[in-house]
Amino acid sequence: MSADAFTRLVREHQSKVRGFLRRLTRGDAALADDLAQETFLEAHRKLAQFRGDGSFASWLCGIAWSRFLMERRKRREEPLDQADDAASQDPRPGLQAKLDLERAMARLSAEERAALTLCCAFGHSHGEAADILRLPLGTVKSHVLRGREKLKAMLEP
Amino acid sequence: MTDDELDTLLCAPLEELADDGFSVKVAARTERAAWWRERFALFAPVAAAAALAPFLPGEELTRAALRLSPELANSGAAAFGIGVLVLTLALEKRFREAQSAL
Repeated sequence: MSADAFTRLVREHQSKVRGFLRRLTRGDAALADDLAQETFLEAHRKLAQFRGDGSFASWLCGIAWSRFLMERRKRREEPLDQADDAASQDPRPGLQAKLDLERAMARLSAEERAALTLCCAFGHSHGEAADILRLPLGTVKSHVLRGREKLKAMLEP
Repeated sequence: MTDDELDTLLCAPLEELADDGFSVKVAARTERAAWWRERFALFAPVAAAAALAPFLPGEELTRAALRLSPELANSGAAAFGIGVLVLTLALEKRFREAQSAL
C-alpha cells in the first residue's frame, strides 16, 4: 500500500481510534494519542494480516485495545480521587451531562469502559466487541450490564 | 436517571476529533519505521555473517574453493545454474519494486 493511501486511511479512522483510546485512558489525551500512533504503526506493519472478516475500524480498535493493555501493564491504573470527581462544571445542560458521563465512565474498569464504548457509542454487537477485545461473549455482555448499572447508580441525582 | 436517558447519553457518538497533523505525524513515523526495517533486512545477514566469520574454518574453505573453482569454471551445468540464480534474484528485485510502486 502506498504512503498516500495509508495516510488517507489514518485520516479516515483517527477520530474513532483516538476517541476510543481517550475513553480507555480516562481522558489522558497525550497518552491516548501516543497509543493511537503506535496503533497505526502496528497496523501498517501488519496490514497483510488483515483478513477482512470485520471492518478495518474494528481491526484497528482491536490493535488499540491490545496497545492499551500493554501500556496498562507498564503503569498501574491509579484510582481516581474525589477531587478529580468534583472538577470542571459546565453550565450548559447537554455538555454537563456529557461531562458527568465521562467522569462516571472514568470510575468503571477499563474492560467495562471498552465494552460500553464499543457496544453503545460505536454501535458494535456484543459478538463484534468480544472479537475486538478478545474476550468471551458472556464476559462482554456482563461488562456491559455491570457497567450500565454502575453508571446509572453514579449518575442518579 | 431512567434507562432511556442513560441509553441516549451512552449511545451518543464520541466527539469528532480534528486531525490537527496527527495523520502527517503517523505517516512520518511509518516511513521512518519502514526505512529501518529495510536497512535491518539488508544488513542483518551481513552482520550475522561478519559475527560468524571468525569461527569459520578458513583454511578448509580455501582448500575446498581452490579444488572446486577449476571444476566450476569448466562445468556448463554449474554456469547454467549460476545464471539461473542471478536471473531469479534480479527478477525478484524487479518484481518487488513493481509491487511497491502499485
